[in-house]
This record gives sequence, structure tokens and C-alpha cells, in this order.
Amino acid sequence: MDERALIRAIQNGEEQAFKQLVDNYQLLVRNTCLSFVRDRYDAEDLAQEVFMEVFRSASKFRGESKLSTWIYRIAVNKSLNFQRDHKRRNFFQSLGDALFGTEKVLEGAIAAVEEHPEQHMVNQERKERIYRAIEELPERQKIAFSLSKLDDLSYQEIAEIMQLSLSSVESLIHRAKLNLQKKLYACYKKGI
Amino acid sequence: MKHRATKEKLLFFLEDTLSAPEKQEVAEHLSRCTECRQLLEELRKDWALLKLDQYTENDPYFYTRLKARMEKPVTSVARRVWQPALFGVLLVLAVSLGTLVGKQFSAEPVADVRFTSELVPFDGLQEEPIEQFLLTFE
Repeated sequence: MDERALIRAIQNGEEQAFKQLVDNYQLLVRNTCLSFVRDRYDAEDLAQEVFMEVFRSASKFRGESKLSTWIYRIAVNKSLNFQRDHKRRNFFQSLGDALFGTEKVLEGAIAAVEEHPEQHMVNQERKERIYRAIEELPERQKIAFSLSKLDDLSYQEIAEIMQLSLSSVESLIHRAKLNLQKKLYACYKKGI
Repeated sequence: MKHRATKEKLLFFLEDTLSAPEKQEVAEHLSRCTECRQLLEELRKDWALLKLDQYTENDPYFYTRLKARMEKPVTSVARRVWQPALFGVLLVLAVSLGTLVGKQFSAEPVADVRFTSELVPFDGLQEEPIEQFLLTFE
């Protein structure tokens, strides 16, 4: 079933068509969400929300862009909204912790037992550092960089998703890399 | 190539996206600059971790979980909005009711407005002239 037929079938309420769409795009959606939120449970939750939105808005899809571009757009928007809410929640959480002295559960505290736990810890720290640096990038640089580097999309595809020109995407990604490099050098210098 | 200019190009060198002459210049600088070599090594280690967490295959139970969630009655969003609002209204009502009940059963006598408005400030001199006071003062 091609994209148009698939969407038409979903618009007509055919469950089998929706299942096929989910099977076709779940890897893409889960990975895009994971690129932005970094937590597997949150990414899973978000991916479900993306497909629910796809199902609800199927009638609005007019086929002007590729189906994958449309789905990417929904996934990116949902992920960015989640990040904003998460920042707000973290603020209130830290406020609550400061007021009531709640113990903070460190992410990754329950790390998987590996053959080389020390190496695992080092890698975990490195990952946190690099993802923190990515998260601190200006929003459009972050989107373009994540879609390029983590989701392996071509500049053309990113341009379609972000509704920008190809040269703008090239420039965004170039600046994102320069910024990341700068942030990482600062971390290496501090020994963080 | 200068040290600062090379530092800015290390990530692009790592990704192999520099032009051939630039690549050559960076490589030459790296052969004699320890700091840049260390930075490149750090970047290489960090960059290698970037995609490690990505999913590589479909989750066979994803659709089942999605379907279950879709079939759940949609109350969560409405509840998220209405619950705090309802809680706030109830709190205001409870406080108002408490104040009202408190006033009804208050033991303190309410001050008479007429009485307080007729009060004349105490004038000690009128009660006891200063001469009298000085005569009796020892």
C-alpha cells in the first residue's frame, strides 16, 4: 500500500492500515523522540503521543509533503513541547526538593551491570556531557543537528521538515557543530 | 595553520568534511601540537557515543501498548486542567465558610460604633489642675 492509500485508509478508520503505518514508522518516531528527550520511557511515551496525533490528524494530511516528513514534523514538535514542560517540571521539582528536602534520585543511578562498570561510568558521563551540550544549543540548531547527526537525515529532508532553504539548514548545522565544539572544549578544560 | 584556526576545524576534520588542502594543514598542525591532539581524541570519544542509544529494531509490542492507550477514556488532559482549578475553588470556599462560621460564634463583643465615636480624650489637667498636683507632689 502506498502512502496516499495508507492515509486514505486511515482516514476511513481502517485499523489494519494504521497498524501498518505504526510498523513502518515506529523506529523513525521512537529514535527521533529519543534524540530529543534522552530517556527511553519518555521517548516511548512521546512516540505513542505522536502516533495518536497522526491518527487524529490523518484527515488534515493533504499530501503536500512526504508522509515521513509530516510525521517527523509532529515528532519534533511533540519532543520540543515535552522538553519545555520538562524544564518547567524540573524547576518546580528542584523548588520542592529545596523546600521539603526530598532526596533526588540520580538518573542512571541504577546502571546496568556490565563487564566494565568503570568504563560504563566514564561513557555515561561523556554521554551526559555531550547531550547536555546539544540541549543547550539554540532551538533551530538543535533540531537541525539532531535530525542530521542522530536520525541520519539528509540536509534536503531536514529542509523539508523544518520548512527552510537548504542553505539555511547547512548554516544551522555548521553553527551547531561550532557551538558544540566550543562547549565541549570548555568542559574538557574544566575537566567535567 | 595557526593553533586557534585548527581548533575550530577539529570536529570537521574528525567528520572528514574538510577540503583536501584544509585537511592537510590540520594534519600537519596535529603532528606538532599536543593540545590539539588531545582535544581531537576527546572529541573522537564523545562523538562515538552519540548514536549508541538509538533503537535498531521495531518493538513488537509497541502497537499493542499504543492501542491500549488509545482505547483508554480521554480524561487525563481535562483532569490535569480541572483538578487544580476545582481544588482552588474548594479551598477558597472552605476558607470563606470557616471565616463566616468563625464570625457567627465569635466570643468577642463587637465594639459599639456610637460609643467609640462619642469618646472624649482624657484630659488630666481638667481632672486635677497642675497646681493641685504640685502641691500634693512630694
